[in-house]
Amino acid sequence: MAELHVIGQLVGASGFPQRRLFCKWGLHAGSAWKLLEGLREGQTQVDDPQAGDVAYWCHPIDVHYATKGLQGWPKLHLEVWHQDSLGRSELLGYGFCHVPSTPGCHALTCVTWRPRGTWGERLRRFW
Amino acid sequence: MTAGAGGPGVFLVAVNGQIESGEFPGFDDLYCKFCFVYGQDWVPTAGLEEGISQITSKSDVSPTTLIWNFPIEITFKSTNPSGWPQIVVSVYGPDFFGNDVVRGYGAVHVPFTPGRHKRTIAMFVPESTSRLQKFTSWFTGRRPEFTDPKVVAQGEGREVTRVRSQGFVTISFNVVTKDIKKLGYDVSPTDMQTSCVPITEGIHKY
Repeated sequence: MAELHVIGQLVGASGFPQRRLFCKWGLHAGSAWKLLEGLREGQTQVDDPQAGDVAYWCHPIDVHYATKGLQGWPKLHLEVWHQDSLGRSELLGYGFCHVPSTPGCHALTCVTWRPRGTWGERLRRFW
Repeated sequence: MTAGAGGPGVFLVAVNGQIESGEFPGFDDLYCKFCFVYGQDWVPTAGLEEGISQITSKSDVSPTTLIWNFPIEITFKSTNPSGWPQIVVSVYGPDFFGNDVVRGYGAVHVPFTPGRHKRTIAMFVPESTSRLQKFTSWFTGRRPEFTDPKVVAQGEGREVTRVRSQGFVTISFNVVTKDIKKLGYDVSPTDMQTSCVPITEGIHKY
């Protein structure tokens, strides 16, 4: 059985049309992988940056996997949400990236996208 | 984890470094506190687990940077990379009335690969939930604070916190490890030019 430690931090997000962002994240791996220690998913704090458009979460990730095979290498799934001043949440983007497959220190930037919807749905987004 | 026949049972991670400086636009006369948060398989064997720095003010030469140059020296032993230590930094300063209020919390993992590393971490403060509370806290000097700064190094319970990021702190580390490879852990750096890329580099591309 091989083991994998994934230790790092969800630093933050930028380039979104709104501020006050938070992220729901989860690690998914194939059936050969077993989570030994750590949390597989979570939700970050909501950050409203004072200056600039980068929202900082600094959310730690520390997981320990054991695996019998390479198939189903763990992936990190992300959802970036906006929380307005009334506490309502709006989805701004989905994204995923694979956990790097070489040992060492990596800085990852994950791209995100949002479903567009039909013309009527896009109009209804404003309310 | 049991040691193999004659092999080492633990590995050591020795960290030397300093909290170099902070950037907090609009705030002056700040001091910082640090402490380490680590998992249950980790034990500090030497050095200091926490500290409080001097109070520093901005100078005419570098009007936006506050220099602390505050030393960090600690050695850990462990049997398991899970729970790798994180350094939690909290920065405090005076408000308009002279009360000591928190100006930022931040945390980062101690680097995993031996060598010299620099990290610039974002610092954030908990936000008041309503405008009235914001005014009251400004007036009385009792700003929202985390009861235990170590919360910043954990993942649980963060989804109910609302924060405002308002500064950065730069920390430099020199990391030495012993027997990590003998225990079977591979931490060799990737084939990038520098062994570690600073945390905020990817974000600043936007």
